Formats: sequence, C-alpha cells, structure tokens
Amino acid sequence: MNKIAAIFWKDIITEIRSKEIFPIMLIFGILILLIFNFAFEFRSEITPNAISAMLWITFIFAGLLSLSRSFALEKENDALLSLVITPADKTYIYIGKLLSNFVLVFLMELIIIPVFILFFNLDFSSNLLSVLGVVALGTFGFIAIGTFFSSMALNTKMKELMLPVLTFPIIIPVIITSVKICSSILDGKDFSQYKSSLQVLVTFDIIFAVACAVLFEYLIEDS
Amino acid sequence: MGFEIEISNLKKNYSYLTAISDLNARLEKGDFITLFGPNGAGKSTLLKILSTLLKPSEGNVVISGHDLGKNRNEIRKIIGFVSHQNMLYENLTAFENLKFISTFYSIKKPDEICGKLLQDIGLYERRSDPVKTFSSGMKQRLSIARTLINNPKILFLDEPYNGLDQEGIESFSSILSDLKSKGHTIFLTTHNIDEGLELSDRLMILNKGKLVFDQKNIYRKEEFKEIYFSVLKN
Repeated sequence: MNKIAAIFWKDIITEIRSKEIFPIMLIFGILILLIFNFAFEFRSEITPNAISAMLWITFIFAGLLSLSRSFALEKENDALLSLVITPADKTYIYIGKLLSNFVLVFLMELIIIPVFILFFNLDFSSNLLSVLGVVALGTFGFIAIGTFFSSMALNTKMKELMLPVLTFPIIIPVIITSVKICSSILDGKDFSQYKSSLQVLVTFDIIFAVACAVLFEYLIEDS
Repeated sequence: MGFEIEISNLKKNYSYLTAISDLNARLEKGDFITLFGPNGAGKSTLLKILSTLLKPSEGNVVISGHDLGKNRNEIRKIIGFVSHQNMLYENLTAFENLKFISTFYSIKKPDEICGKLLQDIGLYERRSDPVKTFSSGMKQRLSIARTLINNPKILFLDEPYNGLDQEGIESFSSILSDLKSKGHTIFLTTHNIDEGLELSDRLMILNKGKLVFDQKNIYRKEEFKEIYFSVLKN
C-alpha cells in the first residue's frame, strides 16, 4: 500500500510543481468544447445522445494528453529502471500510476463539465451526481487501459502516435457504454433502463484493471 | 575467498547482433572490477544482465549464491545499479528522491537513512532543493546515494563518469574509494582508461561481446593503455 501511495504522491507532487500536463489538458478540453459550440451554433435542441458524445470525445482526447506523459516522465533520466531494479512487486507501479492518472483526468473533467453546461446552456442540476458517477466509472476504465498502453508505447519510436492507436480500439466498449448511460441519464430515463449498461461498464472496469495489473509486470520486465 | 559472481557461458543475442558471446568469469567478494571496452563492445548489456534488467539468451549467472534465472528478486535485494543516466526525478528534492525509492525496499527508519546518505555524499545542506537545480556531479553523487539506500553488497556502475567534469570525477572517485574500503564488491564499466584504473583490483577488456583480457591489476596507466590498444587491434 505504501508503494502505491508513493507512486501516486510522486506523480501528483511532480504535476503540482511542474504544471506540465494539467493546464494543457484543461485548455485542450475547453478548445474542443469551443469547436463543438461553434459547430452546433449554440442550438438548444441538441439531443442527449449528442451532448453525451461531445462530453466523452472531449474527455478522451484531453485525457490522452495526460496518459502520453505518464510514463514519459519515468523515461526521463531512466528513472523507471530504478523502480524495476527493486525487489518490489511491479504491479504497485501500475496501480499507483492508474490512480494518479485517474485523479488528474477526473479533476479536469470536473472543471470541463460546468464549462460545458455554460457553453451549451444546459440544465444538469437534477442528474449531475449520476452523470459524475458514470463519468468516474468510464474514466476509470479508459485510464486503466490507457495507463497500460502508455507503458507499452514507452519504448516505441513514435510513442505519442502509438498511444491512441493502441488505446482507442480497446476502449471502444467502455466509451460506447459510458456515452449510452450518460445519454439515458440526461434523457431522464429511469435507472432500470440503463442498469444493465451500468453493470456492463463496471464489469469492463474490473476486467481491464485486473488484466492490465497482471500483465504490467511482464510488460515492464525485459523478456 | 568465495566467489560473489559466477558467469558461465553467457550469451546475449539481439535479433540483429550478438552482444555477448560465451562469456565466463568468476568475481571475488569485495573486489573492485573494471571492465573496459570500446563503445558497442557489450559492456552495458553485460551489466544490465548482471543487474537483472536484461535476461540472457543462454548461459548461467549466480550472484551471491542466487541463480539469476530463478531468484531475480533475491539478487535485487543485494545489488545496486548506477548508470550514466542518473535515474532521478528532477522535480523531487534530493531527500524526496531517496525517501521515494526507500519505500520500494521497505526500509525501516527511512528518514534517518536518507539523511545519513545525504551527509555521506555531501549533499545534506541541499536536501530540500529540487534535483533539477543540481549540477551533473551532484546528481551522480545523489544517484549513488539512491543506489546505497538498501546497503547493497554488490554495486554495478555503468559508465558512471560520463558527463562529469573533473571535480565531479574526483568527488565520485572518492565515494567509490570509500565504498571499496567498506567491502562492497564493485563492478564498473568504462571506455575511458583514465577512470577507475587506480581503484581497480581486477581489469577486464570486452571487445565485440568477447572477454579478451582478464587480469589482476598490476599495471601502471601507460602500461595498461598499451595492452588495451594492442588487445583491441588483435
């Protein structure tokens, strides 16, 4: 547990001091929203499905920026080697990174959502907590996979390009499910109507997080 | 005296080349071994294999009685690895860097040990400064303190003098001399004959993946330089 906390603390403190990722991620997210805003010309009749899709497109593209830097930080000065050479279980590195990436991306999303509401003049007041819950679950699945592929892309020549190419095909089920659930909530549908989708999302999260944690050690150690 | 490291028929093949070929060596406990060789000779590959960061293609390595193929984690408890990359986090302070890595060795009383290591390398006064404000020499000294956090019996140093100025080289050599006197087994690689020769008990030369010279250090610098270049020519 200490080891997970150490990785988490190191990543968060590094971001607080360097301010390398979060401001860029936030600005990028707001820029995407601006483009959507102009594309839809401030129309009020946007369907819940479109609102949900726009939100998730923003989250995924902005979130990828955080993921692409996640393991690149470890590559600087070969710092990752200092962790690999310790006798500690390497799964701790993955879990610590997963948590720090999740916190950074979720924080960005918490800022993006009010901006989104403001830009599109929406009313989320009655279902904001439900939307936040789904955003947290969807983000967790996305980050679980993204963190894993971020480490995989680390040793490739075009790591910035490889990350989305590797990540997008795998996160499709998480994103489609998240978009559907958000859309149902915004449409005012009853919980029973999206309960099964929520169960699918939670299952994806668990499967992806466990599989990535197990495979991480094999990935990080030289074969 | 027992052997600390036993290397038998070691081979490392990459898809495009053979980096290490049929290497055999027995290294004694407490020895300071320097492995010389030109760039691309396979020195870093050998050191990465010995420090558990690479798996050999063939052969066997036993370190302090532990088989590299079977007991990698046991070996990791007793070794330290320093390379020309300092393996430090630039945005953390010197103290934070040491304390962070101490977590992964489950060190008891980490604050005390980190403080003592910083004093030993002369960086205690700068303990709260971010590493990015340090000179190359200071970073390399901190890098060796990071390596000593688990009090390793064996130290692998891969071209540690690269990028250091004269003052940094002297300061680093003095730390190595101190470690040698404390009984650590030290295995250093370099392509520069001027470095490490004085401290060495044993000299090796690796060329094109083959160990072409392995002798006790009885040589003066000029004498060894002649041997080195003649060995590489053949």
